[in-house]
Amino acid sequence: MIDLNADRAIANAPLPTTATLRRRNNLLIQGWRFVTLNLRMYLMVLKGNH
Amino acid sequence: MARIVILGAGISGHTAALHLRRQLSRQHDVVVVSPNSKWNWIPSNIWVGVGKMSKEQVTFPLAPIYRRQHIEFHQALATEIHPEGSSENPTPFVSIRYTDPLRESESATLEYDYLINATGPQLNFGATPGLGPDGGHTVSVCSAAHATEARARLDESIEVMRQGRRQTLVIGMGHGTCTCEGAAFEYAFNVEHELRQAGVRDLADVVYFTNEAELGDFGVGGMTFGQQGFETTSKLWTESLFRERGVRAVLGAHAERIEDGVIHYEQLDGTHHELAFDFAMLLPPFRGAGLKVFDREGRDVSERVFLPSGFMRVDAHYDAKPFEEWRASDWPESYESPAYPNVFAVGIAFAPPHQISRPRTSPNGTVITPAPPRTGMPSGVMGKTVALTIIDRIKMGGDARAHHASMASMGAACVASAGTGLRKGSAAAMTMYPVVPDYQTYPESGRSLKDTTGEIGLAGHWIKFMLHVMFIYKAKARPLWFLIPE
Repeated sequence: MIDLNADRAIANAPLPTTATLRRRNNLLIQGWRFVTLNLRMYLMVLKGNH
Repeated sequence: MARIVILGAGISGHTAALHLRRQLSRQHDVVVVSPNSKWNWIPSNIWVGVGKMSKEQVTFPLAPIYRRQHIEFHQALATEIHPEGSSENPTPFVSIRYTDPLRESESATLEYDYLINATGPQLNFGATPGLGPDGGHTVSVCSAAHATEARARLDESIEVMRQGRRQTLVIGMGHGTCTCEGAAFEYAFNVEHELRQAGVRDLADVVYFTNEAELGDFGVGGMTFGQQGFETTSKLWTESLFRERGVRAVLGAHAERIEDGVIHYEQLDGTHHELAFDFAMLLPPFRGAGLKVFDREGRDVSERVFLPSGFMRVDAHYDAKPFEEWRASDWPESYESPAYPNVFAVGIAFAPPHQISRPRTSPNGTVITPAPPRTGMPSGVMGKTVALTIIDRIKMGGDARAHHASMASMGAACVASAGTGLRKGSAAAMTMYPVVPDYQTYPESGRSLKDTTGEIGLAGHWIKFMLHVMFIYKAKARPLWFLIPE
């Protein structure tokens, strides 16, 4: 038995485009995202005053 | 001279021990009691479970680190707390039973001035008949040893598929009240990634089996992200990943019992079903460590200190109230025991005042709601916060104000791996602020839209790997370890 409601929700979810999938693996773009994500996490830690 | 005893050497206990030792002179004793001889970076166990890392890469022996740091270490299980001492001696103490093979079956008592309970979870596989690797029908990734076994079972399943036979792989939660949905999510997508790498994806049905009412809940009630001028939800975002990778889901499920190859479960609508499987990794629910507390006369006063779940009462508001009346201020700030102010509980050991996800019950009265996660980053922050409170009280006197770190004013970064590989890896990198929604401050979604974000990509995998390297470096107390934030 598989959950039909879950199947429906998943089937209606948006699929990433080919360009989005390419962006997710592009070394240059991901290098930049690596820097910005780290910075964002660091700022969030500071905001929590830890 | 003060003596601080820490029960547990996981993320929160170990963090507290290192900060205490670093900031207190040697005239003070820092003592760690842990039944395990090794420290484990648990977030990387999922990579052990798919064969991308060895057990040795995610663990290291604690004794040499503690010897170098001048921290007294007892490989033992704490069994009793005597916060008022005994009728002969009012000094508080804990009773321990050694698990160290050299001292096995020996018992001892350790006196303390301050006590930190960081005992983590007791893996309650017994809550669901047939659950777990010890006498059950499922595997787990809760420890490095469990993950190693999971990897062997996964390899067997892949071998069967190579011979052309279909397999159903079920990954998720082994009870309606489990927590750590993020870890199960990661393992499901890492397994899916491995199946593709092995060239057998078309012969596998991968099913994520969860107590979450919706995908993307992760035990924190889901998240709302601000993205390119729109608000989107972790639900939509997670469903999209499931669609892209062809993973199916069973939602709002409570595993009632597990037989060889079959999960019997109830769903939130009260219906009962069966799900056949060839390979299943299901996480257990957690309980507290089962410590007993005795007063000076030797009377059992455990219920004054612990909730029935075995988690320790701290400075939270535990009065029962409906979901709509939950407040961020219900959550603890200093992690002090109201019964004994020199006793603290951090990480999984403290009793949360309520869930973070909306509580749900089936028409049959079965609770099917994720328990609140309090592992990883928040655990480390709590450990450090309590260490700073104790340091101040030792240096400035017992009245020094406690340091605060409420999960309702603390952010968290959650990097959920969706496959490994320096070039082909992927992870969902999420940040949320605060962890516990605060609808008074952020009326729209309970969290800051600016600071609650999510994105999928290779960069997330690099971050997850970087965190693995950094936190093991930090836990080994290598030079300048304290500059790495919790």
